Amino acid sequence: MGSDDRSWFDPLVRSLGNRALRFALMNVGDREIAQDIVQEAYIRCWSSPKTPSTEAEFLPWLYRVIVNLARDYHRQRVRLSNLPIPPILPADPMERIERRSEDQEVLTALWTLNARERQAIYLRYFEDLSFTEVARIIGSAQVSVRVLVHRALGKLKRRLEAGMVEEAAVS
Amino acid sequence: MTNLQLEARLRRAAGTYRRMAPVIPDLEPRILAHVAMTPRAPSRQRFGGRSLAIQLAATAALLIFAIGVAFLIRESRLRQQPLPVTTPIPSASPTPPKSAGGGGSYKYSVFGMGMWHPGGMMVTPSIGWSGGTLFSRTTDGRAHWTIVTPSDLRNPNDTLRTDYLDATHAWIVQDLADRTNVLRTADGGRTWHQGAPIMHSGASTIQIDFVDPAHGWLLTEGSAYQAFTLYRTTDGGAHWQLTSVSTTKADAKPGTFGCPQWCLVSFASPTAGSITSLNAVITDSGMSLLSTHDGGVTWTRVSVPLSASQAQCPCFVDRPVFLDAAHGFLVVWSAAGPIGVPIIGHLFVSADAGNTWSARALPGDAESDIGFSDPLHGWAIAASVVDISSLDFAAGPELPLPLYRTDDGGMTWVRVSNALKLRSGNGEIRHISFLDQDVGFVFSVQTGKPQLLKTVDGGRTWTPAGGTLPPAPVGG
Repeated sequence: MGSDDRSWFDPLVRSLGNRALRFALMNVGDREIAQDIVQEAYIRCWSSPKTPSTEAEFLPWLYRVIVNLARDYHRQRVRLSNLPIPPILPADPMERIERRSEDQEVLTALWTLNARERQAIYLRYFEDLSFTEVARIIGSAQVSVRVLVHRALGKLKRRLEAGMVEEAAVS
Repeated sequence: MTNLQLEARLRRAAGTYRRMAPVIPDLEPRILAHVAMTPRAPSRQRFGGRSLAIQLAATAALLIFAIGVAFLIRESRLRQQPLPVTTPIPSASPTPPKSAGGGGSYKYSVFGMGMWHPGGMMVTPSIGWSGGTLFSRTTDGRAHWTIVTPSDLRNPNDTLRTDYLDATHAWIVQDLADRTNVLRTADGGRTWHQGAPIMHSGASTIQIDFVDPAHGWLLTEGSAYQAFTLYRTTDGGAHWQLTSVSTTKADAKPGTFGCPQWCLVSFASPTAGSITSLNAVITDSGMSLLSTHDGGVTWTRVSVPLSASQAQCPCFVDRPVFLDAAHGFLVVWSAAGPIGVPIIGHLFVSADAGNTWSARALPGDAESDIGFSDPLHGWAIAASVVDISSLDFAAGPELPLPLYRTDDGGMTWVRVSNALKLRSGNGEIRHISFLDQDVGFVFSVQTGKPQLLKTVDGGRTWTPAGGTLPPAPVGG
């Protein structure tokens, strides 16, 4: 296989592009930024000779690059502004109403986690990856990812239970 | 709401997220168009490139090196039995005692994000290890790193657990579909010996923990969710015996331990150790953890003086860190508060290998990262911000990080007036550890790059430790 042969790479863009976009969006909360990050991640994967070529090996590699790019984005952002990272706000008013649904409540609560916790929760529960796979992607020991996920679950639980109390008080 | 209910809600929400998240129809052509304009680096520099002389010299050097290695191997084989794997590395310094060699470092720090910081872990000022698939070691204070993972295990997709005891003893765990292999080295990774495999049906290793070159434990989680098994070795990992399994029953019998989920194990000596569950259950009468005095066969509950009214739970318990055969410390963290309320750490110490625990105050009123060099001397970074792991995101680049020191085992803490202050601009602080009363390290990550700060005066001044980074197991 020549170094410019893209026969292995193009199918990986087609099969994983939008999945990677969802992961990037969960990292940065902005569709345009997420799209730029996914595009840059693919370019870096392509330009590196170390990138694995099978889908099973490529996905964690791509996600790892997205994690690094998202981290760089957050750091640049902090230098420009101290504004908190916004949650994903649906443009459609009807969708905003649906926010009151349980799932929307969970998705909103995810944005109370820090970036690393959100990545771990997303990969574990949204992508159904094992702790081992999550550890490889975010660059931690498996036991640390367990701690991280457990800690994030504690935060989410607290947040969601507080939300239920608030709702009960309003109604 | 239980953890299981929350996990189910998260999985349901994943479906909603997939439906709600945007699909960009022209995403693929846009990526492919950019990729088409990007040259791919060749996988290997072709012979006869821009500097033929340098390549020839390098080849000659490699040849001489290979001949030297072959000669050494031959000599070695003449003197002793055949060795299974040989990895050439620089010679090691004498092995320091555990207590002076970083045994007290907070290896599984909650906020340290794991024992294997990308910058590597130092056990003496000159010798350190870096874990992961590319297990590597330095003997010159991080100037150079040598990969010590046997070559046939250097697949980036292999799942390896690694651990070290001191400057020369280390272990690699390889989980396969039906067995777990444990490799051990007693010479700093130069040679590895594989023990008898642990047979199972799809378990994965959570921890491997050694208290001396002979006695160690391996904790696995089975294919069934949150089903744990503890194995023990008394010959350095050559053979492993099943010691106990987890149970959800309150009255655990010998051979079982009552840790239903999120278990971590920690041993102080060949006989004494503790099991904690990250999922702490704290009632008004306090909390408890499990203690053994027969090497892990029989486990009994011991109480920790922390009540629900003292801790804003949900809380979690990190594994105890034993500094020697008797002394250890334990930190319980309040898992979460309302946004804006800092996480609180609660420190406990033991002087009898975890049989009893006494409360000690932590400095400040916020979360800390903690490291002890011995039972008396410890350091803590306490930051009055929401989350020390995202300091650089939330609090700007130059927030000072207060450093405290105790010389009486955590009874009192004194702020270290450091001339060169630790600050959030140093990056994301992930780990603090001290080798002795003077020499310590802070690991941080700045703009995605790990860095190591070093002090040689007990924390008063901090400077970049220099050196190079160990090989990264996964690229990007």
